[in-house]
Amino acid sequence: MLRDITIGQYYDTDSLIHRLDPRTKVVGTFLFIIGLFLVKSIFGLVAAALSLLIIIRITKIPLSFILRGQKAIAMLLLFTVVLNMFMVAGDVLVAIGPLHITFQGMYMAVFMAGRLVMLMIGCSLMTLTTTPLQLTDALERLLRPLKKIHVPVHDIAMMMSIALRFIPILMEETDKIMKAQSARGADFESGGLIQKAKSLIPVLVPLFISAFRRADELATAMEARCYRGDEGRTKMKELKYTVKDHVAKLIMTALAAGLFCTRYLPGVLSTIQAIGKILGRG
Amino acid sequence: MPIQLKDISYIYDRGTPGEKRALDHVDLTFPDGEFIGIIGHTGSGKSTMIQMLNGLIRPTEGTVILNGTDIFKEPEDEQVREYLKTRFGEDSREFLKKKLTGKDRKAAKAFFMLQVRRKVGLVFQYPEHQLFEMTIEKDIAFGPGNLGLEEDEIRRRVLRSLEMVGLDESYLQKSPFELSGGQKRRVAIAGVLAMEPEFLILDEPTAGLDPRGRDEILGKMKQLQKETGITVILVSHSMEDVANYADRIVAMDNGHVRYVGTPAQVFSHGEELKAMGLNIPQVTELQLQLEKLGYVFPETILDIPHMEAYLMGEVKRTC
Repeated sequence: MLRDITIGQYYDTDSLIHRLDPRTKVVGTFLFIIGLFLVKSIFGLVAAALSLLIIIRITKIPLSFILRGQKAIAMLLLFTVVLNMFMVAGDVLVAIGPLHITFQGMYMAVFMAGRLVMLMIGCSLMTLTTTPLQLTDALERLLRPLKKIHVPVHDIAMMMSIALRFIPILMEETDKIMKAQSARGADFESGGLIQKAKSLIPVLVPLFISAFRRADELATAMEARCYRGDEGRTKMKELKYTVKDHVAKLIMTALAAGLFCTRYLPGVLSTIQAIGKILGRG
Repeated sequence: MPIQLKDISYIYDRGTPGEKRALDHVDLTFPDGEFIGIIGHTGSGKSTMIQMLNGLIRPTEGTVILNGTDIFKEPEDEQVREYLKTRFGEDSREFLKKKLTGKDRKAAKAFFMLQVRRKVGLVFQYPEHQLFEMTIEKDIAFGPGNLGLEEDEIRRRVLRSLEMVGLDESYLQKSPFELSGGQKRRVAIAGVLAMEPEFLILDEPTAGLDPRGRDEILGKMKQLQKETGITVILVSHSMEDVANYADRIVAMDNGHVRYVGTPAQVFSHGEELKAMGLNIPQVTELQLQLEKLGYVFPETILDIPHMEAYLMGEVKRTC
């Protein structure tokens, strides 16, 4: 019943990007997002879209798969587009009663929608090419400086990875308990909302009990293996940057810088035009 | 009435690279009133198969027939009307209306499935993990309550099933969570027995119990089968358990039914069972070793008293 749900969906194609250090991917995604927010013109947006397409090609993940994953933001997207279309003042294109769509509004709507979609695709590229555990590992390393101000970085990362590991376990457990209660005649499908919520009690109570039991057992097992937090703990797989990672970071920095520069592109173009005109006259 | 599996196949994750055939064209009949043992290695398809018997898993191919009817078939219009008549009464609006709605069909289907679940009781592995009520009485009453029974009847069934698993009335108002592991499991089994099933399926009911708890539970189930005439289907990893309690054994391997027969018949295939990753009772293993040394046995021996009697007889005869 619940087996089909995938969380932290990792799509393994063993591409160049999959093999990058997870920190590179986190930093790279961050740079891309900064670049996206620095973009001010449609030129920049097109440039960002093109570079995103190239990255998707390198990951070897089918574009259709990525787009399918964006369904979740469809509502948000619609909201953004509609609001921008009607709320921005400017030259009126169509007027419906008190509402009017302006040229500037349309431009803003397209621009914002494009930015939002690319933001989401950029982030999902990171999670699609990195396993959740690699990701928490990377976060732990990247946030390490915060330990100086007593942020329990290691503990947070450990909690995150345990939580991620427990998702499939608890899913399976839910499935099992639901089946066991169905065998006793429980009905989870019919009835109104309240009836349905009530019918979940025989599932939720055993699920909570089992979650606490598992947490308890895990804590004991960790202690039995001498886990006592961050202090003096070493890693089997240390994260290591290689040449690929440095190159990738350079490229992403250049991309962000390039996207920033597109702000001046219209200005540069008009300057060139102006110079051209002057030269033409002369 | 028996349960029949006809040409059943089940495929997990169909259409993905992880596609796996858990059951492959299985034909099997579970006759009435017997104690049937199912043995098989982990992943042999036993769990999938028993969940089909009460409609929790729908086979990819094939039909499950209980008392002559296919349990997954969409109910006919007539049956839907019959259901509306019993549910709402002969002169109700629901029964007299001309056109059946999708909602009626859905409700009828759920109702018929509930009847299947009532007739075929399934006790999962570690059933104590499904307890959820404040008192043992309420927890056992969950099943009969879902069947929509009267309060008196529920009370009668709770007492009866509690007694069947060997606990007395003093437990009724206790919380199921303050019991020992073995007692919890008995309460959970009582929760299924309270549905008064005609078939009782137990998936590894003795896993994690001490030998005494194991003998108590299996003894009670055997007694239940003998006294009430219900069919008990026991899935077990313990060859001794199935050899001692079952009238008939089904040996499964890799999604196929390999052997069906009396314990003596099935365990006479010692070498083949071992190749399937299964064991044979230790006494039978002893017999196998002796046969390799040239001794001849008239039949397959499954338990210690028989073996002792036979060996002592031989010793007396030859000395």
